[in-house]
Amino acid sequence: MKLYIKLGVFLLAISVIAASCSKFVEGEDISPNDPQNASAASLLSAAEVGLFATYGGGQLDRNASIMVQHATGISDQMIEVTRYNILEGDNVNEWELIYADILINTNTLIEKYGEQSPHYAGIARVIQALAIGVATDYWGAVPWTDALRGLKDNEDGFNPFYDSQESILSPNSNSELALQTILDQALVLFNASENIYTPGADDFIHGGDIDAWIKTAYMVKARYAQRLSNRPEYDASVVLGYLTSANLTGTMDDANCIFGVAGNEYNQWFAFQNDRGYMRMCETFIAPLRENNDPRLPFFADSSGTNQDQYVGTVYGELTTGTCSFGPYFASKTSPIPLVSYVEMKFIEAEAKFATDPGGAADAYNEAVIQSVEQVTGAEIPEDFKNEFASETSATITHEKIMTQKYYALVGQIEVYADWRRTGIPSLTPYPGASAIPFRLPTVLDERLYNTNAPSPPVSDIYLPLWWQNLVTK
Amino acid sequence: MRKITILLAFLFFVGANLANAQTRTISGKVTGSSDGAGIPGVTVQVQGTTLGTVTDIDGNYSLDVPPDAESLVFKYVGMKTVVVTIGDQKTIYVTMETDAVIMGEVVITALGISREKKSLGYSVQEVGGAELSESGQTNAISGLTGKVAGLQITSSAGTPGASSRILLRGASTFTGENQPLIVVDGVPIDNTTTITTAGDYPYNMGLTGVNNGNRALDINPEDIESVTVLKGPAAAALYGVRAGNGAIVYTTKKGSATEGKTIKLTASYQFQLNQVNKLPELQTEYAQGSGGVYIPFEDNGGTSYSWGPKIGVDNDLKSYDNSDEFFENGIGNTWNVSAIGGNEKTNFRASIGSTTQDGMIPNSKFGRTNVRLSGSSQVFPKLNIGGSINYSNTTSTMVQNGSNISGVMLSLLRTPPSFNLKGEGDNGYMNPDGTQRQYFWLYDNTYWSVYKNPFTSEVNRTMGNLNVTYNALDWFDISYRLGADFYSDSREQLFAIGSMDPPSPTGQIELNNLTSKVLYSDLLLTFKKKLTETIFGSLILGNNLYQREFDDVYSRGRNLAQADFYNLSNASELYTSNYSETEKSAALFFDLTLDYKSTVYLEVTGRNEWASTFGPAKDNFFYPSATLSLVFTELIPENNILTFGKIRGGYAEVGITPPPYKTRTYFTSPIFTDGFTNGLSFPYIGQNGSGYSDVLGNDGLKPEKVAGLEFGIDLRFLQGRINLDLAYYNQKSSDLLIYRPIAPSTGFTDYFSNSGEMVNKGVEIVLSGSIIKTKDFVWDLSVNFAKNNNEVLKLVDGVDELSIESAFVSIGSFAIVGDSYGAFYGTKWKRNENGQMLIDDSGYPIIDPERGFVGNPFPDWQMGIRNSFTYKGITLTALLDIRQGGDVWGGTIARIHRQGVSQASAEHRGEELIVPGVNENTGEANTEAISNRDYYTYYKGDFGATEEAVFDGSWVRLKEISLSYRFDLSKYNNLVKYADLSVSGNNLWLSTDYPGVDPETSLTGAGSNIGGFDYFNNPGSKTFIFGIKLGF
Repeated sequence: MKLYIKLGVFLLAISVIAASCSKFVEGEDISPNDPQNASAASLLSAAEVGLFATYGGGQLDRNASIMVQHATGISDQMIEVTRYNILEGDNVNEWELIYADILINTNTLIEKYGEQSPHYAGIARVIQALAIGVATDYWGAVPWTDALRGLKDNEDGFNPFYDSQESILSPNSNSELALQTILDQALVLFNASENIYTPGADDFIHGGDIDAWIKTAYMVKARYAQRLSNRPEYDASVVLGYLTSANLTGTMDDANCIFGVAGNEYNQWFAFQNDRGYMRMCETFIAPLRENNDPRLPFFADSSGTNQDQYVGTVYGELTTGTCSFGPYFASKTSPIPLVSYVEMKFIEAEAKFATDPGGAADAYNEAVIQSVEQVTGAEIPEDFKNEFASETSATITHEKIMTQKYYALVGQIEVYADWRRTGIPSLTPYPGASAIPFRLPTVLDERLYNTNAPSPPVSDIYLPLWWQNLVTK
Repeated sequence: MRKITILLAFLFFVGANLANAQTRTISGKVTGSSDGAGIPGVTVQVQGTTLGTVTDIDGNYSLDVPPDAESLVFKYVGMKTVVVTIGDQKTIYVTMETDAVIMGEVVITALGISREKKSLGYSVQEVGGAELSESGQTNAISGLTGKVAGLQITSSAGTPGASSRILLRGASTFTGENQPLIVVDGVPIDNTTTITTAGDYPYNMGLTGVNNGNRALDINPEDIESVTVLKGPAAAALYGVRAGNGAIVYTTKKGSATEGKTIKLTASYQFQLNQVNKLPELQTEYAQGSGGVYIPFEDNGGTSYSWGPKIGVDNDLKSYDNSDEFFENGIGNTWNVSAIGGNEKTNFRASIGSTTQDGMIPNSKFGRTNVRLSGSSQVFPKLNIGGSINYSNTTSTMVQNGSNISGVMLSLLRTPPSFNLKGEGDNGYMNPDGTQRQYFWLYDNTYWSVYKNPFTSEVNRTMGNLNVTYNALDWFDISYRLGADFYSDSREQLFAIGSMDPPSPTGQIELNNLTSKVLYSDLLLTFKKKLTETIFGSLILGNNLYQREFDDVYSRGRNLAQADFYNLSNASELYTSNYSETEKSAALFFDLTLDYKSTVYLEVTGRNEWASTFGPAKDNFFYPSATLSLVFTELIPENNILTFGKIRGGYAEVGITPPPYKTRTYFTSPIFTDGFTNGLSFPYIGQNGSGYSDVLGNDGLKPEKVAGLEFGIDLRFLQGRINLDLAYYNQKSSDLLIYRPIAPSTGFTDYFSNSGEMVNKGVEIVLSGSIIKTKDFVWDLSVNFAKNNNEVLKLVDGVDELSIESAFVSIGSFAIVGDSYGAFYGTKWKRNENGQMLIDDSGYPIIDPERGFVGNPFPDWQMGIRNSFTYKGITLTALLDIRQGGDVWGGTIARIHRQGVSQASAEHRGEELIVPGVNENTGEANTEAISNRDYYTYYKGDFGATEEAVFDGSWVRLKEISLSYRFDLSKYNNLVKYADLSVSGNNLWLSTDYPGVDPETSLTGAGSNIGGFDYFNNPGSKTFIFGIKLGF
């Protein structure tokens, strides 16, 4: 009996001590360094800057400029891109940026704040449309409706299935997250009047101006409606309808990537040129501008690294230096890069009207060129140039002219690559020895390795056309 | 293991049988000759039988002996065996004397507990304090190099204050700490290596920046009495999770009774001369330029390449040996004074030490001042109080290295020989207007870097402990110890206006304050009792508490208004970030030791640990260990050949807690970068940004588990003339935490979870002895050898390769299933099935698009050979350190090949060279030659495959050599009793095939799990030391 008492006392003592040990370590598991919550404002700011990193001179943007021969690689990894040696590991960062930054955080913004602050949710949807749009433009089928479940479902959400490009972009898609559908949702959300939190300075793009966001939403809708121009689903009147609804007044309606003067805020074209310098402007792009006496040339290209301040580019695929670098229009520290722009919309309008209303197409085209020149140079368009390149009529306007001038105007933007893949204008000569210019990026390495629902076998053929190119039936 | 268990059962059986055949009783007491106190645990045996007992806590014994018993044998470790004829005696008192042969075999183990080495069931190795201070190393870690089997120490560079990384028996975790715990006087101390990193820096700062020191640097080696290295998890089970990789236990010098004098003083002085021991070979013949054309800075900023014309041929260029000119003799001065004093009850030791060093790199400095006081007192007959306090002030001025355009080695080694880097006069590296003279617009002039862009650090640290022991009863002690270790480190990194490293050359100031506070407490209840006639037991019950708080505050100012004025007020662009971490753990543990007739020892430990890093789901776990050893020489007849023999075996588990703050998913301020630019980050145009961290938290984390088996044998021949200790271990780490990569389309890129497995197997051999031992001449030899094999067994299903820490695009440090942890991962040459390199039609080698294993930075084996010759007071000691294998990535040499500055790149200038291999289309041997420049760019250079730049880092080096003599001065005066004079050297000779700096180098230093990278690392050093020590 006595032994039992002793044992009992011993066990009691141990359990008291054990409880106090447990108490001693309690409460230190929560990090003092990072919050478990985030404000609507900080989520929006992060999502927008994520978009700037994608559209504003990041690797996808540089890749686009090399594919369309605006620029060419002269050193290191950029030579490989120029030679179309594009491997599955090359764009992991960009893929992560789209999914593990922009999309997850806009989803979080919608889930945490969307109900009570619909304007934030609306902006989040427009950002998502731009992010998933660039993803499908580059990779075709991509995870979307089943994506972003890691936090909610842990291991059950680790293998998202892929949505076809058709289900993301077709106007007939039943996907509740189809690109046009989420933009329609955004437009509804922008109409809501009750908002607990409202965006302001945290919204770099429009400073919380919801009317400007409504225009942006319509501009993205118009871009992706025009994207289907090769498809039977295409309807030019839908595109023009979106443009009418956008109610554009001028280049002040642009939605831009905004950059700052501090080292962590630089335009990424500038940062790349400054830190790496692996690229030069391409002669394919520079030569016609030089011949056209295009007043935008000193803004599109920087000749200070050339011998006699000459506007020459490096011939595509060659490694010559002493040629022009990126120009100040899109590659100074703070140069804004358009996400969607008035100029782009005018070119889209021209294209959409071209078949049925050539006069309207010519007007839209002339306005696009004039506005581009004036926006880029900050001066009135020179008369000579206007006469030669911005005075088209219903008789003279051609699709070729529209797309060629758009190809110049949209330098530094990812969109030019989509336009070229859709229209084949201007005609480009592939890298010597290659039979074609690639149309897409291969399935991302991390998806092949870690997502059992990634395409199997992985898409490794970068010359495989996208659904919206519709090259087979053409 | 099973055999030992059977043998043990047999022994118990035999013992019990004989004990029944009793006839008469003999009793008595065993006392020690020095103090007359009873000795507990002495084995008392009837000679020629296994019949016997052990003495109790007071040294008393009582033994029933058979009628024919003639004599009793008294044995105790560290004492000379006594044999007494029984005759008619019923009481036998015995006095035992210490035995010189196995003297000093009491070792300090975990928690500062002294244990007989004989009784230990695991591997320990000791190093004397003298061996540390003789090495001349300011870092108490580096002084252990080559002296302990299985201990791999890598100094990151030979520059003063650079960190030293320690590995014991290989790496045991993927992402956590792999270095052993450092303990001083029973209290674990902080040995972290912290690299200053801005909160908005997206890459691994370890690849650039300076060689920050590991904090064991603050210990003064002169204060160390001895070091015990506890290897493997068994040795350190009592320290808990942080000792999963073993422990290095430093015991400081203490005071002692000073007969006849109040105090005893010693004073010493050391003078050191440091020189660069090895550099890559550079060419001095060809000028800056390209294609034979001279392109200096004046020509549009110049080129960084040295493929220009031959110097002095058709031009008036001159050749400069810039690296030879650049490095200086580093001078070091070290002073130490100590005093000890006391009587039987109270004693103290006070010491003060100061070391200052000017580095081999101009303007680099290191200084340390230590003040230490320790004492103990028997306040009451049963109560002892002791403690120590140590203050240290460590200052360094360091220079950048690595992948850094303001790095010393990068700009120095790439300097074209046609450029006079130093220039004329005192400030020849500057132009008259104060701007720097560059050879290439992108790189800083090396002199500008060292004089204008210094990094300084000042560490103020106080370490102290207080211990109280109460000998409550004969069989029961209670002791408590409280330890504290506080430090602050104020760092400053300047970049003068015009320096190229910040994003704009407009100057930068960085301030970084680190503070660390560690509190440690343990309470031990010790019970000692004679359990039966033959078994002596002791039990320790304990509790310990540990708390660590760490804060890191970083501020930066850019765009300075006034030159050479460094205050944040002078900057127009400010940024600041901070990081804090608190970790707590608590544990209850026991340690039970059973001693059967000083022949068989069984030790069982168990520890239950609570840790703050688990989060709410689970906060505690238990891990056990058991060791068994058999002193088999007790069972065989005494002989003159094998004096002592022991076999031992053990099994131990240690759990390792997860790092802090991994159980939840947090929001962070994101950094968007594609690896080419510094990217976009926050604050962005005055706004904050938040997004989910890329790492998905896991609230179900378990401890990592290291489970090890160890067997060993310890043999002493010829009364200790030859000693051999062998150990074999097999340690498996499981449930290893990894950042499991997941598809980014989940919204996250990694999931922190327990799934990895890794095994370390190895042998350690320590052989020591006196080859010659005469009255006047002694030759001692000690050899240690260790071989460790590490293999990653599993990462996570479907993943065979995982980066362990972010590194370069061209080379990473990976865990690869089937290969060693920390393996180099990079590009390889495309080869045919016979392993021959494939060459394209133009003669260029082809890089395989798939990357993979290209090298293992861990050595195949390591060996230390120490010879010591003593002739009439003159001692000559030499320590050879041998490393076999251990690859080093020579990023430096590959790059300087491409730059055209390596000696090799100059040897066939203008010629065409053939890359060995076979044509990819024909399979015939390649005959297509390529230009010398392309050969050193696309084949030997860093545009080639990474594998080409991986070299065998094997070495044989004369790690230490010293000659010393003690002058006995007591005959001549009363003041100075003796003077020790010594002349020694460190690293004076090195033999290696590695083509860069000393292959004992590490770009990322001790704070990183990456090993073996050399990318413009600071060089190693050789040291000449002159020392004098006076005893008063």
